[in-house]
Amino acid sequence: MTMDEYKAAGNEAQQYVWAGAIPLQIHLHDSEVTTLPPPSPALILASRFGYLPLLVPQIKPFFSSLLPPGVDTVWFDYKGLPLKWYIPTGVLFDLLCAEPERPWNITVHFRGYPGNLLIPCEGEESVKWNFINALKEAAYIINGNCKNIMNMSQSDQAELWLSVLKGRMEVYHGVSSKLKLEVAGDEFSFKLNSSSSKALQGINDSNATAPTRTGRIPVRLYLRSIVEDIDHLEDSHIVDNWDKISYINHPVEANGNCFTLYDAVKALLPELFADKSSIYANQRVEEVGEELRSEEASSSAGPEDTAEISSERAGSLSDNAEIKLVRIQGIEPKMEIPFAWIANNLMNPEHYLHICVYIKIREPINI
Amino acid sequence: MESGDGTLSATEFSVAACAFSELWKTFNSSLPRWSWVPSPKRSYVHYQNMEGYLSLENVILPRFFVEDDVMEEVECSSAEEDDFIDTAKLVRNHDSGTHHYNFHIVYSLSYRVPVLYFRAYCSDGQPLALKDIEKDIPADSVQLLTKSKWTFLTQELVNAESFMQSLLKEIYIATVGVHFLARASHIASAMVYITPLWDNGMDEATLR
Repeated sequence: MTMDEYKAAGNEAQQYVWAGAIPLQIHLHDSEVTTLPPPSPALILASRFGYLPLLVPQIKPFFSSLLPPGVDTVWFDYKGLPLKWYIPTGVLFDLLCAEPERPWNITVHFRGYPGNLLIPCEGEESVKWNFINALKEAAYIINGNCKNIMNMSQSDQAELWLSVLKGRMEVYHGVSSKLKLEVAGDEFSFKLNSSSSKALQGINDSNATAPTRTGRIPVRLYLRSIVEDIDHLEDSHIVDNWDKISYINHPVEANGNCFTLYDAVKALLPELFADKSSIYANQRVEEVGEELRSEEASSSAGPEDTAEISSERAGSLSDNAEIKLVRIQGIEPKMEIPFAWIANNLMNPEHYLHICVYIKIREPINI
Repeated sequence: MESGDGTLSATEFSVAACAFSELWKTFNSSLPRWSWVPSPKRSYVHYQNMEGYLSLENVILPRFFVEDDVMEEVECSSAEEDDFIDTAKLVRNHDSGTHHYNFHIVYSLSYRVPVLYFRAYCSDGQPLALKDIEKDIPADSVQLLTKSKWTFLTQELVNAESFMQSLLKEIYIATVGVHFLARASHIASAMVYITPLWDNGMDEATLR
């Protein structure tokens, strides 16, 4: 690929991601329906980068005339699971809809905020500060300090947030390029950014802090386990409880130029990639030990049976969990793609890369 | 024990947390204990040396001053009350219950320092609003909420009761769902940097 082709590919990827939207069909919860017939659901196209509470001004007109008097405390659920408002809409969709559902049917509530399950949200301000917070953390991870964020002018800050609210990629890049948060190791994206910003160098001056690249990439990984032995994703059970999702906020250290998506997932979830023969060996030692101890208590198993049982157990445990899919911005990227490219092009506006991983777990065999 | 820039490794955090809770027990025998909550063990999720976090739950703080406006709120609601407002709503505005706090000290992989999280709630489990949390902070510190600077607190772990109060005193709250950065660099005297990660106005203060 020529430099121009790479440049085009990078921008194209970003354009697709920024244009990404989830069609939502939002139903008012049964308990809040006060009219016959019940109101039609609201149909909204939600930005992948957005957050559900930001849609409230669009949703309210559909239902406000029907609600009982009182204070509105808006929250959403998907098949009974209250949705965490600080997770971007696109990530919620990728994580909770194993087989993408279009439109995505979710339920809105205006009362009865589950304060014991969801942290309070006071509208756009809460979402904005959560976003800025995440941006600071990402800046710290990439540069080793947050000076570039703390030193942002009021107008830059307002423009940045507006670009996220309205989904304006060019406005966003205008502000974010000043922050110098490109991830190191993606030499193609880095080169194209630096060649286009040469004109800005004069402006960028004394106040700009030269980034000290730490080589760390901000990642939020959401792990969903599917226990059944299924072939088709649509058959997997829905998530009814956030305890079933593991969330890991862990920076990835990209070592060298050939660090791929595969390497990154392996660094985050090493147990899933452990050498199967070594697991087998360890398990076998443990199982044999157990069997020998229990032998004294009961005379059930002889030595040969012990060896057989333990190898069977070890065999099933080493295949206990395997990765079913890795989903970023609604796509399943090839695992050989350089991770730095993935980070620079598929990240959210707060510079975090959100990765959804589905793993399949076999039920342990009970002997 | 730690690197020159003040950061800790995950393992150093586990060791320091242990030492911290022991010291707390020694010097603050009248206060509830911190407990260590180990990371859940799941065969396929490796928490990258994150062995656990410190937890201190259901702490009831002494109130610094009584709010008169609580009564006013009740009166206002009564005046506008119609048949559809149920008593549960009145109770929520009333704020007559005790304020409970859960504190967690967690190791941040991003910042490589301990982070103090707290959750404030009333007796029925419902989270406290920002204005109610502010009531638990001494009056002279409330005015500092509008500024965003970072504050340096040095405290010997001997005067038990005041430690918790001092901790809250210097906390700046920008919104509900708070986030702090705390760094314990020496065990005998806890040197705690508490700084807001949320600024209502982005001033020149830098985070380090």
